[in-house]
Amino acid sequence: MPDLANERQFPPSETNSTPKVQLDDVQLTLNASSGPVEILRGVNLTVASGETVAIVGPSGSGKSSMISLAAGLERPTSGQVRLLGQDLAPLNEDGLARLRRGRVTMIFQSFHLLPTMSAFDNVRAPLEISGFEDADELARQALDDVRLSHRLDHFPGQMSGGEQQRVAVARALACSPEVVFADEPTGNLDTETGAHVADLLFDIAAKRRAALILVTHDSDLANRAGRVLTMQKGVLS
Amino acid sequence: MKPALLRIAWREFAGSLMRFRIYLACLGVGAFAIAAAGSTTQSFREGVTDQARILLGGDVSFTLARRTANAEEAAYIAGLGEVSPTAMMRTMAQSTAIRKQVDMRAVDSAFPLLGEMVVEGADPQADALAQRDGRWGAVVSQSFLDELDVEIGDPIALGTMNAYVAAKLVSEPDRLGQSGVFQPTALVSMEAVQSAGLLDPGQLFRSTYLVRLSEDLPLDELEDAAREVMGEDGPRMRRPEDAVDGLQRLLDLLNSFLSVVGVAALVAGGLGISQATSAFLESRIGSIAALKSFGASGADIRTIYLIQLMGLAVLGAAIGVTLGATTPVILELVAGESFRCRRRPPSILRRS
Ligand SMILES: Nc1ncnc2c1ncn2[C@@H]1O[C@H](COP(=O)(O)OP(=O)(O)OP(=O)(O)O)[C@@H](O)[C@H]1O
Ligand SMILES: [Mg+2]
Repeated sequence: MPDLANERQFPPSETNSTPKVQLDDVQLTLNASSGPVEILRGVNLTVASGETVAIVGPSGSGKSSMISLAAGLERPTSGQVRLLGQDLAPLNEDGLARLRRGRVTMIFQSFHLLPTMSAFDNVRAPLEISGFEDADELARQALDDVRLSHRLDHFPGQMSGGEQQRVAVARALACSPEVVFADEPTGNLDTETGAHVADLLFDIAAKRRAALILVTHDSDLANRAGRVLTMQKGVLS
Repeated sequence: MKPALLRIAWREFAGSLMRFRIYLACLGVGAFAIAAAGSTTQSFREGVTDQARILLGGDVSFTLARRTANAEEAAYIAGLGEVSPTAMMRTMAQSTAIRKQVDMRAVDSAFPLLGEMVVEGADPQADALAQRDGRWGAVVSQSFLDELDVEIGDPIALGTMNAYVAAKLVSEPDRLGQSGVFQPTALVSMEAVQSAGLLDPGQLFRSTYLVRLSEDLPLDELEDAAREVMGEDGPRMRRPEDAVDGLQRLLDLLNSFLSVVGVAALVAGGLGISQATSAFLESRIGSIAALKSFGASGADIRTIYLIQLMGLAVLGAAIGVTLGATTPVILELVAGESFRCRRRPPSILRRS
């Protein structure tokens, strides 16, 4: 199994003060059948290590789209996206995957768990792909952190929405990433569990100095973040 | 390849097996149809080849129309191995009330050279075909008993020959190789027909000399040699293939039919496979995106899903081939006696 430290790429430009996430006049225009749709119209965002940013805004305003771009899952129509100090434009799919590996993780709005794998395997698989030697241990710990140690062998189809969401959270936090994108991470959780999951997210920013970009409709959760930004019709302010 | 990928593929594979039973069924049916077509025809062919000698009644036979072999020919044939002379003719059978044309077959004590003759109701102490109280024993078919309305022990006349019904003929090993399978038949001894003058010149009959070769000769060579010695007008040699001539043609037809079915199944199976494959991958788009977002490279993803697709393909093909290969056995179990295509020829029994 490859040594993680050797697989990680630290561009010479990256120092402690380099922003973890940087969006510079990012535009996204999609071509729908009715003609081009401007989804993001010049978004600027800089998030440093240890910083927490909450993005709020109405449905359909482009929050999820921005997160996809920032994580390198989609490419902007124009503008520059830098992740971990690295310009994403010249990287191909594999270069992007290698950059994210073990360092940048996502909690998807719709979870995207692998339906054919147990909760434990859903958390363990990305760790294994990223080359973590102690994948089993980390996966167990992460599921314990989201209070799902009694659901290790359950498949996504056998779990409630909230439980699936917590598996997605465990999957994102298991590797102690440097950047976490969380798209409505507490949307399906009751107040108490939601607060607990939020604690986990803010903990990783505080203790591991990770950058946390959080999309939420919950103003209490948003207000725990260092900064709250509003997305409105593809413009962030 | 990272072992982790194999583990991930295996875990997802195991989890998705139940969901992909349709996919497996597609593969299975496709492979099954092809394997079944091949193995069934093949085992038919083997069965026919196995049985052909029995249907002929020997390794080879020599036939003559309207005469028996002359001394020279008889000597040559006798030199080839063990010989059983037989004769076949039509004759009028007469019971007390009924008169009817029947097939009469004369055999000697060496008959049958191959296979087993089954008779019913014969006196176990005596030779059923022997002469008793001035009447020759005749072993007759069920249709003979029915159509002439006679029972075992009843006196009958076969042409000019006085005979009696000695037993019922259940089966002759080479019956299918003869003509007129359902015709009423009487089996008598060569001695009987000879003494009745039925093999004299001018009589209508066909004589057949069944031979079990003492040496394993190439039949082409044997046929040439026989013609050389006995001439063009001499006994004509028949081989096992000749006895199953019609059957071979039927098999060829069956083979082409099954081939067409196989190709159709292959096309259907192929379509099913390609559809199931894209359905499989489509259902994985979310998973693939998630794996990618967590650092899986394109090669990692390809490896994970290629392993699974190959696993499914191998499993489906294995199921199909297993089913296909066992079809003849299953058919035999279901159809029983009438479908004995894989059996070895029965042990060779001879009457001493
Ligand atoms: N593939 C696509 N083609 C066309 N339009 C798209 C596509 N994907 C997203 N959109 C549009 O882009 C806009 C932004 O979508 P996005 O998912 O980013 O919204 P959001 O702010 O995350 O909303 P929500 O709060 O409901 O999750 C929406 O109007 C959506 O309809
Ligand atoms: Mg969204």
